Amino acid sequence: MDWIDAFLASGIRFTTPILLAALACLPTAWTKDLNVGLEGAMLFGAFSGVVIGLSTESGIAAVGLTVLIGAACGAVFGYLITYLRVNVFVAGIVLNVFAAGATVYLLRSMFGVKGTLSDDRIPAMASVSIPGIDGIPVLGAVLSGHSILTYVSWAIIVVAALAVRYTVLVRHLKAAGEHPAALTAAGGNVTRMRILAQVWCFALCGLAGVQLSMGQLTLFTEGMTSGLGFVALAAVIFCRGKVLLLALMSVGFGLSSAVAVQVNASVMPPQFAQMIPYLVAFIGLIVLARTAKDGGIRIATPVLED
Amino acid sequence: MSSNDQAAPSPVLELQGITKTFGPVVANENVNFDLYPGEIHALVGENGAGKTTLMRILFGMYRPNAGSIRLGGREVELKKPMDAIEHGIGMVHQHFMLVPSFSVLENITLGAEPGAGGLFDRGRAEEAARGPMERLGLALDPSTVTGSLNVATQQKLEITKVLYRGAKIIILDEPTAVLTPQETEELFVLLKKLAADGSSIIFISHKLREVFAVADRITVLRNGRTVSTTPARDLDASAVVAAMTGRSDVNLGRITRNAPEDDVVLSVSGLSTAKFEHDAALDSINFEVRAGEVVGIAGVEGNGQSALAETLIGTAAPLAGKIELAGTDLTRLAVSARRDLGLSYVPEDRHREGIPINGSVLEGLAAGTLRRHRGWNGLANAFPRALQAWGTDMISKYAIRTSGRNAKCHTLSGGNQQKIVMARELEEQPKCIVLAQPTRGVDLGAIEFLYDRIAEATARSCAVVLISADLDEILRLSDRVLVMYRGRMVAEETATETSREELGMHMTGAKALGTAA
Amino acid sequence: MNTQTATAQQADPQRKSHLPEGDRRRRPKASGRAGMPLARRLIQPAFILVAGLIMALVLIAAQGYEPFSTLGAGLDYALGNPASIARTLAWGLPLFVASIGVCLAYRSGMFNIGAEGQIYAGAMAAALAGAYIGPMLSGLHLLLCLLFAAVVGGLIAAGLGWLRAAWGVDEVLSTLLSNYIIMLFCAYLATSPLRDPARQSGTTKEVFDTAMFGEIMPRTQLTSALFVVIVLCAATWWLSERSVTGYRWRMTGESPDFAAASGISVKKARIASMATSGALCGIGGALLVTASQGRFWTEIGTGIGWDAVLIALISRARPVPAIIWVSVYCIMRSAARGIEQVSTVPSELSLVLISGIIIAAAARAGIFSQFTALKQRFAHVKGH
Repeated sequence: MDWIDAFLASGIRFTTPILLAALACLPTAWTKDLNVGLEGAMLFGAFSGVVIGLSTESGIAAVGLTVLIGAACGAVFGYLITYLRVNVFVAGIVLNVFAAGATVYLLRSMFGVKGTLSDDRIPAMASVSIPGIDGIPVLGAVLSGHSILTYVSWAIIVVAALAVRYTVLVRHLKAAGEHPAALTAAGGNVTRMRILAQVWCFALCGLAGVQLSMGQLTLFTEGMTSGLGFVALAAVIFCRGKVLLLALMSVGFGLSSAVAVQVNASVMPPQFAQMIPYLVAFIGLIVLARTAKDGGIRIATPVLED
Repeated sequence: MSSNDQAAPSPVLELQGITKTFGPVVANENVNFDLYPGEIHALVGENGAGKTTLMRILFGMYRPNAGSIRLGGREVELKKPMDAIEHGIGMVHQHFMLVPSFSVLENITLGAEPGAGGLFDRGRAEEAARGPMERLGLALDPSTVTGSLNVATQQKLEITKVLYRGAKIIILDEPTAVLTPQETEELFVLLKKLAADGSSIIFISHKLREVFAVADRITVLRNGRTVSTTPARDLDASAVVAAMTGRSDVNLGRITRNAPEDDVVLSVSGLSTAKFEHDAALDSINFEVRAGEVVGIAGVEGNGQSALAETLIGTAAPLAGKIELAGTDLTRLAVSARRDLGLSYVPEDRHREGIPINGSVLEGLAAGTLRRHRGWNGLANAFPRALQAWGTDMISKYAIRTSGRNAKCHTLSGGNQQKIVMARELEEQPKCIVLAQPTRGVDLGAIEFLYDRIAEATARSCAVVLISADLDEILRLSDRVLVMYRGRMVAEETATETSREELGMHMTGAKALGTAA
Repeated sequence: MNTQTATAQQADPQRKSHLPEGDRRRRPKASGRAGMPLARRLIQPAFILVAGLIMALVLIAAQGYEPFSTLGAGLDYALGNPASIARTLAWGLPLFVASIGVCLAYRSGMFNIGAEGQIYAGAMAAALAGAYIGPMLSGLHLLLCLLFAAVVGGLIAAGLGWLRAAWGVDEVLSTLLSNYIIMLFCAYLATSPLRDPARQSGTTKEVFDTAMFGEIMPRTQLTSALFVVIVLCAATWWLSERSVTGYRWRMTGESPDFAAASGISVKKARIASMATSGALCGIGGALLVTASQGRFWTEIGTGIGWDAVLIALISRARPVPAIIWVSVYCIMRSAARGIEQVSTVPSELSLVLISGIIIAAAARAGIFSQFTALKQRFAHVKGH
């Protein structure tokens, strides 16, 4: 049964960054400013975590500061797409390219390394073993022994699900996306909601990035997000604004990523195994389009008129 | 209210010298407007006369360049809608400000949710919403999803929202556009009751009949200026039309046309479709249109008119039935093939379907010509000199007011945009043309021009299907009137022998069982 | 920009329609290009140029170098003499083709984010046609390679286009995901069945010499592929901006409902434009092999697809601005490499810069209107 435990444990490990990024993106889907730059924001988060961790040698500082920096970047991004009227799709794509270039640029100019930055002084996220549950097969692998950010992500699911039901804020976020004029006419502030969604998005993407660079490993590699942000984006699109569905989708993608690691190269070439989450998302997309009553989902793309 | 002159109460609202410009466009210029307690004051004017802008200023959505707003005698500054709401002003917008996926309760309380610490207190919200809902006779489960309600109920919900916020001044922007004649009557009764209870109401409309039915006073705007403010009882329709248009010769009667010929051009039989996104499914529709005949299709919007138009031109496919044009079966043909056979179409949503809104005037005009290129001709120059010259000719022939054939369509007014559509469709010399809401958002001058073109088309034996929500339009142009209700044709009348009231009855389905075709 | 976003049919009208009639007319846009005064047409490029220069200078200064002379050295490396111009141009050839390819799809409203994958597929196809067929007459062999790449890229894109046109599968997400699937599949081919056993894993066999473009300027890597690129750019420009087909695609992109109602087959337009777009991206990939690398390897075109997407977006899918943007980007890349040689400023400077410039360009209208609003508010305050 060891392989089941190993599979589940690594599935949860893969799920965490996807889940965090997807939860990050969710409010931007509510405000209809779907942020396609998750990938870039995560990469920055991963980089920032390692750099701060290296200089302060404190995991808490790395997490805390990365979230704060993320929130600040989110505010800037929000300002760009609202007041400065940059199309959110364009801004997201640019963010991805920018992150890929800027992290390498900074890596080389700050540390003089190319490719990977790893150092013993980079603190690892504490992993939490829950006594008692730890030893139980299957359950132990699922519930215990993960990075603290994994538990944080679970807590965020609960908070988000409750917030959807009980808070005014989520209502306003959704109204800002679905019918902004109605919110304005009712005295709400659409712009503030749209910026807030981006602040949340970037802060949580920062967490997702830190989980990648310090939760699983303690290093930063160029382009280490390798498409995880897009998988999270797919999860957000599939869940249609529902938090629990989002969590489920993320777990699905996490487990399918775990297959890639667990499957032996003699069974399947590694490239095929790595393809699994993307194939799952691709097929899911087609199924959704075929079954959805309103003809599926569309990502808001800019009108290219001058 | 006739009590104005006796007690001389002070106005609750005074707008003085309001001027608002958008870049080079002057939307309001030195506009004056006042409102007394318990009064229904109508604001009328053509599209683009500045009614909506003025009300948006009053509701804090725009800030005027000059002028003052006084509420109860005190000058106020309204920087955002919240300021207006706090001063007791409520607005029912032309396009509903309701979030479709929200519940009734969530929509009523949006922006003023009861509860502490950012949490939504459902119990208190229900209690607070109950009073206004009862005042409007809205017997609804507060957890109903708003998008599932019919438009008349949604409109009541809008008024409920306004009352929930404690408004004393209620602005209604074109509230009857989406209602049946009966629903409109109901709304008027409601408004009069609210006014009697002490609310002051500003009623914006361009439908004169309604203005006279409900208003105490009428203010006319033209080109952003106030033309007159007069008690309604001192006015008649022609005087208001003259004030609105600045002309005294506007024809409001029936359009003179040739009598229809005998041969059937368009024949529709047993046509049924699936449910449309915003419209009812068609349910075995049968009708015929003769050469030179105008058949009006009346009905409350959402009863299958859009479905009918789209199925006729071929952008939507029917489930069953047959469409024949001069004996040729069109049912399985693509849009381009139908058009090649002589079917033309003026779509209801001009901005989306009628013109390339971000494209040029020429691109809008030339669609018919460019459709005919086949195969490798697709690589040919799209706009050779000859076509450009033709475009310029069309602009003068149809009196399209634009800076030139390369102007972007969105820079044109609604009437001129519609002339582009009409020019393109009529220049194809169609055997049959389907007109869907052909004069919506078009000013009176352009409407006359368009009606003349339609009359000309029938003179050269073109069959016309006129789908319109405007009963006056249908009665002025049609030979026969068909009424749609829930995707079915429920009545057929001769235009000259029927009345608005009779058609209104058919439109609500009241007589559906008796006369079903 | 929100009100100008082409979203789903159901959500969009509400964002749009709360504007009153008057709003549509007051958009301060010039009507017709001819009417636009020259000064106003130059604002955008001038703004971008200044913004880019300032960013470059600041970034160089931040690394502790004298900004002007360092930048000068970089520009000299990129444009200093005919040979350096040729070198700069040679690197950009695939990007020219891919960028106008992406533009073409965008014109019909198909956001082909899958350029990266189609470039890889094209490169793989050309590498196979070049290495396993032939040797034969050089021109013929090259034609075969490009054709093969165009067909593979075109088929992939056409398939994705068909999914959108027929089943409503969102092409943004489907093309995005297709990138990873195609790139991983190509990586599999290059590491297992088609690997060149003589070399490290991840490369295919070298193509025959007859499948390589000849240099037209010695030691600059500028090959006769230049002429192919020029012809393709000109043809694409005609197709997109002048032809009847281009009109149909444009209308499909700008106003799909108008296109459908006036008898244009939206489905056909979408699939055809995607296919053409994919074919051009495939040829771009083929040029990577036949004009420089001589074989496929797993990181042959990393990032080029995304560059093409970015350039197509910022040039609003117009071929001429796209060609200008690619040229600018080529110069920046080349200059960044020159700067790297005289300093320790990493050559990724160009990526950082282009992102910054693009955001500045996209925000320009917003910045200006914010500025005007501020001025008005100030005037308002003074007036009181």
